Amino acid sequence: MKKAQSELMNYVFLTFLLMVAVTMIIIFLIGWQVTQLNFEKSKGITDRALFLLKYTTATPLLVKDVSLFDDRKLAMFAVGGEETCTKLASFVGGGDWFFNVTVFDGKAPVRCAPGEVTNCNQWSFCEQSGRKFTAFALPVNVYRTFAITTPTDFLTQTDLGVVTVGVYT
Amino acid sequence: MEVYELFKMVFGLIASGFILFFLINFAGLYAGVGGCTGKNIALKNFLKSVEDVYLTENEIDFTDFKRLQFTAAFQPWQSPPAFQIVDDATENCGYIRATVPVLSKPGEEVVIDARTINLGWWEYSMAIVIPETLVVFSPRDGNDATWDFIRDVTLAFPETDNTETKVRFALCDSGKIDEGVCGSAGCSAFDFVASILPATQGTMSGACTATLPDNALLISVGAICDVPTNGICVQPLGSNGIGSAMIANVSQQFTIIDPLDVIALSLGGDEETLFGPQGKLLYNYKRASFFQELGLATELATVRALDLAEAIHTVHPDHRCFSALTSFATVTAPLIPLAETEGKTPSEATALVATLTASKNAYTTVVDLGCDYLFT
Repeated sequence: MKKAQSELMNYVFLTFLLMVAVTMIIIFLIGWQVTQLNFEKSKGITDRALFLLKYTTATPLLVKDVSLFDDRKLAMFAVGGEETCTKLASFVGGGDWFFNVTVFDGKAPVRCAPGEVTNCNQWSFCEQSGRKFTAFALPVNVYRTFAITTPTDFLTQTDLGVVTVGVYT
Repeated sequence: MEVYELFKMVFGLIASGFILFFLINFAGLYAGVGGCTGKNIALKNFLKSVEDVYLTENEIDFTDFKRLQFTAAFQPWQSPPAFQIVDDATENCGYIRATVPVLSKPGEEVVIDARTINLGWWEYSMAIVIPETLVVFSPRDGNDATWDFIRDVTLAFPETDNTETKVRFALCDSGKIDEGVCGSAGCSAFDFVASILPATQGTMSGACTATLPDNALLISVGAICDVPTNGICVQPLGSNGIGSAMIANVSQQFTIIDPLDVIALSLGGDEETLFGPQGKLLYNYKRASFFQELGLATELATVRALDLAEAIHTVHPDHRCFSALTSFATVTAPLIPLAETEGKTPSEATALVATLTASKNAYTTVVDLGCDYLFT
Protein backbone atom coordinates (compact mmCIF):
# COMPACT_ATOMS: atom_id res chain seq x y z
CA MET A 1 0.00 0.00 0.00
CA LYS A 2 2.84 2.34 0.92
CA LYS A 3 4.60 1.56 -2.39
CA ALA A 4 1.44 2.33 -4.30
CA GLN A 5 1.10 5.62 -2.44
CA SER A 6 4.72 6.48 -3.25
CA GLU A 7 4.28 5.75 -6.96
CA LEU A 8 1.08 7.78 -6.98
CA MET A 9 2.98 10.70 -5.46
CA ASN A 10 5.64 10.32 -8.17
CA TYR A 11 2.96 10.67 -10.84
CA VAL A 12 1.35 13.63 -9.13
CA PHE A 13 4.76 15.27 -8.80
CA LEU A 14 5.66 14.54 -12.44
CA THR A 15 2.33 15.94 -13.58
CA PHE A 16 2.95 19.01 -11.48
CA LEU A 17 6.39 19.50 -13.08
CA LEU A 18 4.88 19.03 -16.51
CA MET A 19 2.25 21.66 -15.80
CA VAL A 20 4.93 24.04 -14.54
CA ALA A 21 6.91 23.51 -17.77
CA VAL A 22 3.81 24.09 -19.92
CA THR A 23 2.97 27.23 -17.93
CA MET A 24 6.52 28.51 -18.36
CA ILE A 25 6.31 27.96 -22.13
CA ILE A 26 2.99 29.81 -22.25
CA ILE A 27 4.39 32.72 -20.23
CA PHE A 28 7.43 32.84 -22.51
CA LEU A 29 5.33 32.83 -25.67
CA ILE A 30 2.97 35.52 -24.37
CA GLY A 31 5.94 37.61 -23.23
CA TRP A 32 7.57 37.24 -26.63
CA GLN A 33 4.33 38.18 -28.34
CA VAL A 34 3.93 41.28 -26.13
CA THR A 35 7.52 42.30 -26.88
CA GLN A 36 6.87 41.86 -30.60
CA LEU A 37 3.69 43.93 -30.38
CA ASN A 38 5.51 46.73 -28.56
CA PHE A 39 8.28 46.57 -31.14
CA GLU A 40 5.75 46.71 -33.98
CA LYS A 41 3.98 49.67 -32.33
CA SER A 42 7.25 51.53 -31.93
CA LYS A 43 8.24 50.73 -35.53
CA GLY A 44 4.82 51.90 -36.72
CA ILE A 45 5.24 55.23 -34.95
CA THR A 46 8.75 55.64 -36.38
CA ASP A 47 7.52 54.86 -39.91
CA ARG A 48 4.64 57.29 -39.49
CA ALA A 49 6.94 60.08 -38.28
CA LEU A 50 9.33 59.49 -41.17
CA PHE A 51 6.50 59.56 -43.71
CA LEU A 52 5.12 62.78 -42.24
CA LEU A 53 8.61 64.29 -42.33
CA LYS A 54 8.86 63.51 -46.04
CA TYR A 55 5.29 64.70 -46.63
CA THR A 56 5.89 68.00 -44.84
CA THR A 57 8.96 68.75 -46.93
CA ALA A 58 7.06 68.02 -50.16
CA THR A 59 3.48 69.28 -49.78
CA PRO A 60 2.78 72.29 -52.02
CA LEU A 61 0.72 73.72 -49.17
CA LEU A 62 3.96 74.61 -47.37
CA VAL A 63 6.86 74.53 -49.80
CA LYS A 64 8.02 76.38 -52.88
CA ASP A 65 9.85 73.28 -54.02
CA VAL A 66 10.79 69.99 -52.34
CA SER A 67 12.73 70.76 -49.14
CA LEU A 68 12.42 74.50 -49.77
CA PHE A 69 9.85 76.00 -47.39
CA ASP A 70 8.14 79.26 -48.24
CA ASP A 71 8.11 81.56 -45.19
CA ARG A 72 4.86 83.20 -46.23
CA LYS A 73 3.13 79.87 -46.69
CA LEU A 74 4.28 78.87 -43.22
CA ALA A 75 3.06 82.17 -41.80
CA MET A 76 -0.34 81.88 -43.48
CA PHE A 77 -0.68 78.25 -42.43
CA ALA A 78 -0.24 79.36 -38.82
CA VAL A 79 -3.12 81.84 -39.16
CA GLY A 80 -5.61 78.97 -39.47
CA GLY A 81 -4.55 77.56 -36.08
CA GLU A 82 -5.87 74.25 -34.82
CA GLU A 83 -8.52 73.92 -37.54
CA THR A 84 -5.86 74.03 -40.27
CA CYS A 85 -3.83 71.42 -38.38
CA THR A 86 -6.82 69.09 -38.19
CA LYS A 87 -7.49 69.54 -41.92
CA LEU A 88 -3.89 68.84 -42.87
CA ALA A 89 -3.83 65.77 -40.61
CA SER A 90 -7.00 64.46 -42.26
CA PHE A 91 -5.25 64.48 -45.66
CA VAL A 92 -2.60 62.09 -44.39
CA GLY A 93 -4.58 59.59 -42.33
CA GLY A 94 -5.35 61.67 -39.22
CA GLY A 95 -3.76 61.28 -35.80
CA ASP A 96 -1.91 63.73 -33.60
CA TRP A 97 1.37 65.06 -34.93
CA PHE A 98 3.25 68.33 -35.01
CA PHE A 99 5.97 70.03 -37.00
CA ASN A 100 8.11 73.09 -36.68
CA VAL A 101 10.51 74.90 -38.95
CA THR A 102 13.48 76.85 -37.60
CA VAL A 103 15.64 79.13 -39.73
CA PHE A 104 19.36 79.23 -38.99
CA ASP A 105 20.01 82.91 -39.58
CA GLY A 106 22.61 83.39 -36.89
CA LYS A 107 20.05 84.78 -34.46
CA ALA A 108 18.50 83.20 -31.40
CA PRO A 109 15.26 81.34 -32.18
CA VAL A 110 12.25 83.65 -32.00
CA ARG A 111 8.80 82.13 -32.43
CA CYS A 112 6.67 83.67 -35.14
CA ALA A 113 3.13 84.72 -34.27
CA PRO A 114 0.44 83.56 -36.73
CA GLY A 115 0.89 85.51 -39.96
CA GLU A 116 4.29 86.89 -38.92
CA VAL A 117 7.32 86.49 -41.21
CA THR A 118 9.75 89.22 -40.22
CA ASN A 119 11.65 89.57 -36.92
CA CYS A 120 11.19 85.88 -36.15
CA ASN A 121 12.67 82.62 -37.36
CA GLN A 122 10.66 79.74 -35.99
CA TRP A 123 7.18 78.50 -36.91
CA SER A 124 5.51 75.78 -34.86
CA PHE A 125 2.35 73.93 -35.79
CA CYS A 126 -0.08 71.54 -34.15
CA GLU A 127 1.96 71.31 -30.95
CA GLN A 128 0.42 69.96 -27.75
CA SER A 129 2.29 70.48 -24.50
CA GLY A 130 2.95 67.70 -22.02
CA ARG A 131 2.68 64.80 -24.45
CA LYS A 132 5.33 62.24 -25.30
CA PHE A 133 6.37 62.03 -28.93
CA THR A 134 8.75 60.48 -31.41
CA ALA A 135 10.29 63.08 -33.72
CA PHE A 136 12.79 63.37 -36.56
CA ALA A 137 14.54 66.42 -37.96
CA LEU A 138 15.86 67.18 -41.42
CA PRO A 139 17.92 70.07 -42.77
CA VAL A 140 15.96 72.16 -45.29
CA ASN A 141 16.01 75.52 -47.01
CA VAL A 142 13.62 78.33 -46.20
CA TYR A 143 12.73 80.93 -48.79
CA ARG A 144 12.51 84.36 -47.13
CA THR A 145 10.30 86.55 -49.31
CA PHE A 146 11.45 89.83 -47.86
CA ALA A 147 14.79 89.11 -46.25
CA ILE A 148 15.87 92.70 -46.60
CA THR A 149 13.40 95.53 -46.90
CA THR A 150 14.45 99.12 -47.49
CA PRO A 151 12.20 102.11 -48.01
CA THR A 152 12.66 101.61 -51.74
CA ASP A 153 13.29 97.94 -52.29
CA PHE A 154 13.03 94.38 -51.02
CA LEU A 155 15.32 91.42 -51.55
CA THR A 156 14.63 87.72 -51.28
CA GLN A 157 16.95 85.20 -49.70
CA THR A 158 17.17 81.45 -49.11
CA ASP A 159 18.28 80.46 -45.62
CA LEU A 160 19.27 77.16 -44.12
CA GLY A 161 16.89 75.68 -41.61
CA VAL A 162 15.65 72.52 -39.99
CA VAL A 163 12.22 70.93 -39.99
CA THR A 164 11.21 68.73 -37.07
CA VAL A 165 8.20 66.43 -37.38
CA GLY A 166 6.90 64.40 -34.46
CA VAL A 167 4.10 61.94 -33.76
CA TYR A 168 2.48 61.95 -30.33
CA THR A 169 2.53 58.52 -28.70
CA MET B 1 -6.04 -5.28 -12.75
CA GLU B 2 -5.30 -3.43 -9.58
CA VAL B 3 -7.19 -0.28 -8.70
CA TYR B 4 -3.86 1.58 -8.78
CA GLU B 5 -3.20 0.48 -12.39
CA LEU B 6 -6.67 1.63 -13.35
CA PHE B 7 -6.04 4.96 -11.63
CA LYS B 8 -2.76 5.42 -13.57
CA MET B 9 -4.52 4.77 -16.86
CA VAL B 10 -7.44 7.10 -16.17
CA PHE B 11 -5.18 9.81 -14.74
CA GLY B 12 -2.79 9.45 -17.67
CA LEU B 13 -5.61 9.73 -20.17
CA ILE B 14 -7.09 12.81 -18.50
CA ALA B 15 -3.72 14.53 -18.09
CA SER B 16 -2.60 13.72 -21.66
CA GLY B 17 -5.94 14.79 -23.08
CA PHE B 18 -5.82 18.04 -21.20
CA ILE B 19 -2.25 18.83 -22.28
CA LEU B 20 -2.89 17.79 -25.88
CA PHE B 21 -6.08 19.84 -26.07
CA PHE B 22 -4.32 22.86 -24.66
CA LEU B 23 -1.26 22.57 -26.95
CA ILE B 24 -3.35 22.01 -30.09
CA ASN B 25 -5.53 25.01 -29.24
CA PHE B 26 -2.52 27.17 -28.59
CA ALA B 27 -0.71 26.00 -31.72
CA GLY B 28 -3.87 26.60 -33.77
CA LEU B 29 -4.18 30.08 -32.36
CA TYR B 30 -0.54 30.80 -33.14
CA ALA B 31 -0.86 29.39 -36.65
CA GLY B 32 -3.79 31.77 -37.28
CA VAL B 33 -2.01 34.72 -35.71
CA GLY B 34 1.16 33.83 -37.62
CA GLY B 35 -0.70 33.73 -40.95
CA CYS B 36 -2.39 37.05 -40.26
CA THR B 37 0.87 38.56 -39.00
CA GLY B 38 2.56 37.77 -42.31
CA LYS B 39 -0.33 39.30 -44.24
CA ASN B 40 -0.38 42.37 -42.03
CA ILE B 41 3.36 42.87 -42.54
CA ALA B 42 2.83 42.62 -46.32
CA LEU B 43 -0.03 45.12 -46.04
CA LYS B 44 2.18 47.55 -44.11
CA ASN B 45 4.88 47.20 -46.78
CA PHE B 46 2.22 47.87 -49.39
CA LEU B 47 1.09 51.06 -47.65
CA LYS B 48 4.70 52.19 -47.32
CA SER B 49 5.17 51.61 -51.06
CA VAL B 50 2.01 53.61 -51.81
CA GLU B 51 3.28 56.45 -49.60
CA ASP B 52 6.69 56.42 -51.33
CA VAL B 53 5.15 56.47 -54.79
CA TYR B 54 2.76 59.25 -53.75
CA LEU B 55 5.71 61.38 -52.65
CA THR B 56 8.18 60.54 -55.43
CA GLU B 57 5.84 59.70 -58.35
CA ASN B 58 8.19 56.86 -59.28
CA GLU B 59 6.07 53.85 -60.26
CA ILE B 60 6.86 50.42 -58.80
CA ASP B 61 5.71 46.81 -58.92
CA PHE B 62 4.32 45.31 -55.72
CA THR B 63 4.16 41.52 -55.59
CA ASP B 64 4.23 40.61 -51.86
CA PHE B 65 0.54 39.69 -51.85
CA LYS B 66 1.09 36.87 -54.36
CA ARG B 67 3.40 34.91 -52.02
CA LEU B 68 0.77 34.95 -49.27
CA GLN B 69 -2.14 34.63 -51.71
CA PHE B 70 -4.33 37.53 -50.72
CA THR B 71 -5.35 40.96 -51.99
CA ALA B 72 -6.00 44.30 -50.36
CA ALA B 73 -9.51 45.59 -50.99
CA PHE B 74 -9.77 49.36 -50.83
CA GLN B 75 -12.69 50.59 -48.72
CA PRO B 76 -13.21 54.26 -49.55
CA TRP B 77 -16.33 54.46 -47.39
CA GLN B 78 -14.34 54.08 -44.17
CA SER B 79 -13.10 57.16 -42.35
CA PRO B 80 -10.20 57.32 -42.97
CA PRO B 81 -10.35 54.96 -45.98
CA ALA B 82 -8.71 51.59 -45.42
CA PHE B 83 -7.18 48.58 -47.14
CA GLN B 84 -8.76 45.31 -45.96
CA ILE B 85 -7.05 41.93 -46.25
CA VAL B 86 -9.10 39.63 -48.50
CA ASP B 87 -8.21 35.93 -48.79
CA ASP B 88 -9.88 32.55 -49.04
CA ALA B 89 -10.07 32.14 -45.25
CA THR B 90 -13.15 33.43 -43.52
CA GLU B 91 -11.21 34.92 -40.60
CA ASN B 92 -10.83 38.67 -40.46
CA CYS B 93 -7.11 39.34 -40.64
CA GLY B 94 -7.38 43.09 -40.31
CA TYR B 95 -7.01 46.30 -42.20
CA ILE B 96 -4.77 49.32 -42.44
CA ARG B 97 -5.85 52.91 -42.93
CA ALA B 98 -4.78 54.72 -46.09
CA THR B 99 -2.54 57.67 -45.30
CA VAL B 100 -2.50 59.27 -48.74
CA PRO B 101 -5.16 59.80 -51.43
CA VAL B 102 -5.29 56.62 -53.48
CA LEU B 103 -7.43 54.89 -56.10
CA SER B 104 -7.07 51.14 -55.98
CA LYS B 105 -8.23 47.97 -57.69
CA PRO B 106 -7.28 44.80 -55.82
CA GLY B 107 -4.85 42.25 -57.21
CA GLU B 108 -2.10 39.89 -56.00
CA GLU B 109 0.43 41.66 -58.24
CA VAL B 110 -0.09 45.36 -58.77
CA VAL B 111 1.67 48.38 -60.17
CA ILE B 112 1.63 51.54 -58.06
CA ASP B 113 1.91 54.94 -59.69
CA ALA B 114 0.84 58.51 -58.93
CA ARG B 115 -0.85 61.22 -60.94
CA THR B 116 -1.08 64.95 -60.36
CA ILE B 117 -3.64 67.65 -61.14
CA ASN B 118 -1.61 70.84 -61.53
CA LEU B 119 -3.28 74.20 -61.04
CA GLY B 120 -0.02 76.12 -61.09
CA TRP B 121 -0.38 77.63 -57.63
CA TRP B 122 -1.13 74.22 -56.12
CA GLU B 123 -1.09 70.61 -57.20
CA TYR B 124 -3.04 67.60 -56.04
CA SER B 125 -1.50 64.14 -56.17
CA MET B 126 -3.14 60.76 -55.97
CA ALA B 127 -1.62 57.28 -55.94
CA ILE B 128 -3.08 54.70 -58.35
CA VAL B 129 -2.91 50.95 -57.63
CA ILE B 130 -3.86 48.62 -60.46
CA PRO B 131 -3.28 44.92 -61.28
CA GLU B 132 -2.52 43.53 -64.76
CA THR B 133 -5.21 45.16 -66.89
CA LEU B 134 -6.32 45.60 -70.47
CA VAL B 135 -7.99 49.00 -70.87
CA VAL B 136 -10.33 48.83 -73.84
CA PHE B 137 -11.56 52.08 -75.32
CA SER B 138 -14.65 52.05 -77.46
CA PRO B 139 -14.81 55.36 -79.36
CA ARG B 140 -18.39 56.06 -80.36
CA ASP B 141 -17.68 58.87 -82.81
CA GLY B 142 -14.85 60.62 -84.66
CA ASN B 143 -15.07 63.94 -82.78
CA ASP B 144 -11.80 65.54 -81.76
CA ALA B 145 -13.10 65.90 -78.21
CA THR B 146 -13.69 62.14 -77.99
CA TRP B 147 -10.22 61.19 -79.21
CA ASP B 148 -8.43 63.87 -77.24
CA PHE B 149 -10.18 62.65 -74.13
CA ILE B 150 -9.14 59.06 -74.85
CA ARG B 151 -5.53 60.30 -74.99
CA ASP B 152 -5.91 62.21 -71.70
CA VAL B 153 -7.48 59.25 -69.89
CA THR B 154 -4.82 56.88 -71.26
CA LEU B 155 -2.05 59.07 -69.87
CA ALA B 156 -3.76 59.15 -66.48
CA PHE B 157 -3.26 55.36 -66.21
CA PRO B 158 0.20 54.11 -65.15
CA GLU B 159 2.83 53.87 -67.89
CA THR B 160 4.08 50.30 -67.37
CA ASP B 161 6.92 49.91 -69.87
CA ASN B 162 9.37 49.40 -67.01
CA THR B 163 7.24 47.25 -64.70
CA GLU B 164 6.42 43.54 -64.60
CA THR B 165 2.73 44.17 -64.09
CA LYS B 166 1.39 45.65 -67.28
CA VAL B 167 -1.50 47.97 -68.07
CA ARG B 168 -2.20 47.60 -71.78
CA PHE B 169 -4.50 49.54 -74.07
CA ALA B 170 -6.70 48.51 -76.97
CA LEU B 171 -9.51 49.82 -79.14
CA CYS B 172 -12.83 48.06 -79.60
CA ASP B 173 -15.18 48.49 -82.53
CA SER B 174 -18.36 46.38 -82.53
CA GLY B 175 -17.22 42.76 -82.09
CA LYS B 176 -13.51 43.36 -82.68
CA ILE B 177 -10.78 44.25 -80.18
CA ASP B 178 -7.61 45.70 -81.66
CA GLU B 179 -4.75 45.13 -79.21
CA GLY B 180 -2.10 45.93 -81.79
CA VAL B 181 -2.82 49.60 -82.35
CA CYS B 182 0.85 50.44 -81.69
CA GLY B 183 2.17 47.78 -84.07
CA SER B 184 2.69 45.00 -81.55
CA ALA B 185 0.30 43.26 -79.15
CA GLY B 186 -0.10 44.99 -75.82
CA CYS B 187 0.36 48.73 -76.16
CA SER B 188 1.62 50.71 -73.18
CA ALA B 189 0.10 54.13 -72.46
CA PHE B 190 2.70 56.20 -74.34
CA ASP B 191 2.78 53.84 -77.34
CA PHE B 192 -1.01 53.76 -77.50
CA VAL B 193 -1.34 57.56 -77.41
CA ALA B 194 1.38 57.94 -80.02
CA SER B 195 -0.37 55.40 -82.25
CA ILE B 196 -3.92 56.70 -82.31
CA LEU B 197 -3.29 58.93 -85.24
CA PRO B 198 -5.86 61.13 -86.93
CA ALA B 199 -6.14 58.35 -89.53
CA THR B 200 -7.60 56.04 -86.88
CA GLN B 201 -10.04 58.69 -85.73
CA GLY B 202 -13.50 58.31 -87.14
CA THR B 203 -12.96 54.81 -88.48
CA MET B 204 -14.84 53.19 -85.61
CA SER B 205 -18.08 54.00 -83.87
CA GLY B 206 -19.79 50.70 -83.08
CA ALA B 207 -20.68 49.80 -79.51
CA CYS B 208 -18.23 47.22 -78.19
CA THR B 209 -19.89 43.79 -78.25
CA ALA B 210 -16.70 41.71 -78.19
CA THR B 211 -16.10 39.20 -75.41
CA LEU B 212 -13.60 40.88 -73.12
CA PRO B 213 -10.96 39.13 -71.03
CA ASP B 214 -11.54 39.01 -67.25
CA ASN B 215 -8.95 41.70 -66.59
CA ALA B 216 -10.42 44.19 -69.08
CA LEU B 217 -11.83 47.61 -68.26
CA LEU B 218 -14.16 48.88 -70.96
CA ILE B 219 -14.41 52.64 -71.40
CA SER B 220 -16.81 53.81 -74.08
CA VAL B 221 -16.31 57.44 -75.06
CA GLY B 222 -18.66 59.52 -77.17
CA ALA B 223 -20.92 62.52 -77.34
CA ILE B 224 -23.96 60.37 -76.50
CA CYS B 225 -23.99 57.92 -73.59
CA ASP B 226 -26.59 55.51 -72.30
CA VAL B 227 -26.28 53.28 -69.25
CA PRO B 228 -23.71 50.75 -70.53
CA THR B 229 -24.10 47.00 -70.09
CA ASN B 230 -20.37 46.68 -69.38
CA GLY B 231 -17.70 49.08 -68.09
CA ILE B 232 -18.36 52.79 -68.15
CA CYS B 233 -19.52 55.25 -70.78
CA VAL B 234 -18.04 58.77 -70.78
CA GLN B 235 -19.09 61.96 -72.48
CA PRO B 236 -15.81 63.88 -72.87
CA LEU B 237 -15.22 67.31 -71.41
CA GLY B 238 -17.08 70.00 -73.33
CA SER B 239 -16.11 73.62 -73.92
CA ASN B 240 -17.21 74.35 -70.35
CA GLY B 241 -14.71 71.78 -69.02
CA ILE B 242 -17.46 69.44 -67.83
CA GLY B 243 -18.15 65.90 -68.99
CA SER B 244 -20.28 63.10 -67.63
CA ALA B 245 -20.08 59.36 -67.18
CA MET B 246 -22.28 56.37 -66.39
CA ILE B 247 -21.40 53.01 -64.86
CA ALA B 248 -22.86 49.72 -66.07
CA ASN B 249 -26.12 48.88 -64.34
CA VAL B 250 -26.16 52.13 -62.34
CA SER B 251 -28.71 54.69 -63.43
CA GLN B 252 -26.79 57.73 -62.25
CA GLN B 253 -24.88 60.33 -64.20
CA PHE B 254 -21.51 61.36 -62.75
CA THR B 255 -19.99 64.75 -63.49
CA ILE B 256 -16.44 64.55 -64.85
CA ILE B 257 -13.94 67.38 -64.56
CA ASP B 258 -10.62 65.55 -65.00
CA PRO B 259 -9.29 62.13 -66.11
CA LEU B 260 -8.89 60.97 -62.49
CA ASP B 261 -12.70 60.99 -62.18
CA VAL B 262 -12.79 58.50 -65.07
CA ILE B 263 -10.05 56.36 -63.49
CA ALA B 264 -12.03 56.22 -60.22
CA LEU B 265 -15.26 55.15 -61.95
CA SER B 266 -13.45 52.71 -64.19
CA LEU B 267 -11.36 50.98 -61.49
CA GLY B 268 -14.38 50.51 -59.23
CA GLY B 269 -16.90 49.74 -61.96
CA ASP B 270 -20.22 48.22 -60.99
CA GLU B 271 -18.73 45.79 -58.44
CA GLU B 272 -21.28 45.68 -55.64
CA THR B 273 -20.25 46.44 -52.05
CA LEU B 274 -22.28 46.86 -48.88
CA PHE B 275 -22.44 50.58 -49.58
CA GLY B 276 -23.19 50.53 -53.32
CA PRO B 277 -21.17 50.15 -56.51
CA GLN B 278 -17.42 50.45 -55.90
CA GLY B 279 -17.05 52.82 -58.89
CA LYS B 280 -19.45 55.29 -57.33
CA LEU B 281 -17.71 55.02 -53.94
CA LEU B 282 -14.25 55.56 -55.46
CA TYR B 283 -15.59 58.52 -57.44
CA ASN B 284 -17.15 60.12 -54.33
CA TYR B 285 -13.96 59.51 -52.37
CA LYS B 286 -11.74 61.06 -55.08
CA ARG B 287 -13.98 64.12 -55.31
CA ALA B 288 -14.15 64.61 -51.53
CA SER B 289 -10.38 64.21 -51.18
CA PHE B 290 -9.60 66.63 -54.02
CA PHE B 291 -12.03 69.30 -52.94
CA GLN B 292 -11.08 69.13 -49.26
CA GLU B 293 -7.44 69.75 -50.16
CA LEU B 294 -8.45 72.37 -52.70
CA GLY B 295 -10.43 74.24 -50.02
CA LEU B 296 -7.43 74.49 -47.68
CA ALA B 297 -5.00 75.25 -50.51
CA THR B 298 -7.27 78.08 -51.71
CA GLU B 299 -7.52 79.60 -48.23
CA LEU B 300 -3.74 79.60 -47.88
CA ALA B 301 -3.04 80.83 -51.42
CA THR B 302 -5.46 83.76 -51.29
CA VAL B 303 -4.36 84.95 -47.86
CA ARG B 304 -0.71 84.64 -48.93
CA ALA B 305 -1.31 86.58 -52.16
CA LEU B 306 -3.10 89.39 -50.32
CA ASP B 307 -0.40 89.51 -47.67
CA LEU B 308 2.30 89.73 -50.33
CA ALA B 309 0.39 92.38 -52.25
CA GLU B 310 0.03 94.48 -49.11
CA ALA B 311 3.71 94.11 -48.25
CA ILE B 312 4.69 95.19 -51.78
CA HIS B 313 2.23 98.06 -51.72
CA THR B 314 3.84 99.58 -48.63
CA VAL B 315 7.22 99.77 -50.41
CA HIS B 316 6.09 100.44 -53.99
CA PRO B 317 2.49 101.71 -54.11
CA ASP B 318 2.37 101.37 -57.89
CA HIS B 319 4.26 98.09 -58.25
CA ARG B 320 2.96 95.81 -61.04
CA CYS B 321 2.72 92.86 -58.66
CA PHE B 322 0.16 94.53 -56.41
CA SER B 323 -2.66 94.36 -58.93
CA ALA B 324 -1.59 90.94 -60.24
CA LEU B 325 -1.61 89.39 -56.76
CA THR B 326 -4.84 91.05 -55.62
CA SER B 327 -6.47 90.02 -58.89
CA PHE B 328 -5.31 86.41 -58.35
CA ALA B 329 -6.69 86.44 -54.80
CA THR B 330 -10.01 87.91 -55.92
CA VAL B 331 -10.43 85.39 -58.71
CA THR B 332 -9.36 82.42 -56.57
CA ALA B 333 -11.23 83.15 -53.33
CA PRO B 334 -14.65 81.95 -54.64
CA LEU B 335 -13.14 78.46 -54.80
CA ILE B 336 -13.43 78.18 -51.01
CA PRO B 337 -17.26 77.94 -50.92
CA LEU B 338 -17.34 76.19 -54.30
CA ALA B 339 -14.98 73.44 -53.12
CA GLU B 340 -17.42 72.64 -50.30
CA THR B 341 -20.10 71.84 -52.88
CA GLU B 342 -17.73 69.30 -54.52
CA GLY B 343 -19.32 70.22 -57.85
CA LYS B 344 -22.10 67.69 -57.36
CA THR B 345 -24.65 69.39 -59.60
CA PRO B 346 -23.86 70.45 -63.17
CA SER B 347 -24.23 74.15 -62.27
CA GLU B 348 -21.88 73.81 -59.29
CA ALA B 349 -19.40 71.88 -61.41
CA THR B 350 -19.56 74.52 -64.16
CA ALA B 351 -18.93 77.31 -61.66
CA LEU B 352 -16.06 75.33 -60.12
CA VAL B 353 -14.33 74.61 -63.39
CA ALA B 354 -14.79 78.21 -64.60
CA THR B 355 -13.26 79.51 -61.35
CA LEU B 356 -10.42 76.97 -61.49
CA THR B 357 -9.61 78.05 -65.04
CA ALA B 358 -9.77 81.75 -64.17
CA SER B 359 -7.57 81.14 -61.13
CA LYS B 360 -5.04 79.22 -63.21
CA ASN B 361 -4.92 82.06 -65.75
CA ALA B 362 -4.57 84.70 -63.03
CA TYR B 363 -1.68 82.74 -61.56
CA THR B 364 0.01 82.54 -64.96
CA THR B 365 -0.10 86.33 -65.06
CA VAL B 366 1.40 86.47 -61.55
CA VAL B 367 4.24 84.20 -62.66
CA ASP B 368 4.75 85.97 -65.99
CA LEU B 369 5.16 89.26 -64.15
CA GLY B 370 7.65 87.63 -61.77
CA CYS B 371 5.44 88.29 -58.79
CA ASP B 372 5.20 84.91 -57.10
CA TYR B 373 8.80 84.44 -56.03
CA LEU B 374 11.08 86.80 -57.92
CA PHE B 375 10.47 90.38 -56.95
CA THR B 376 12.58 92.95 -58.71
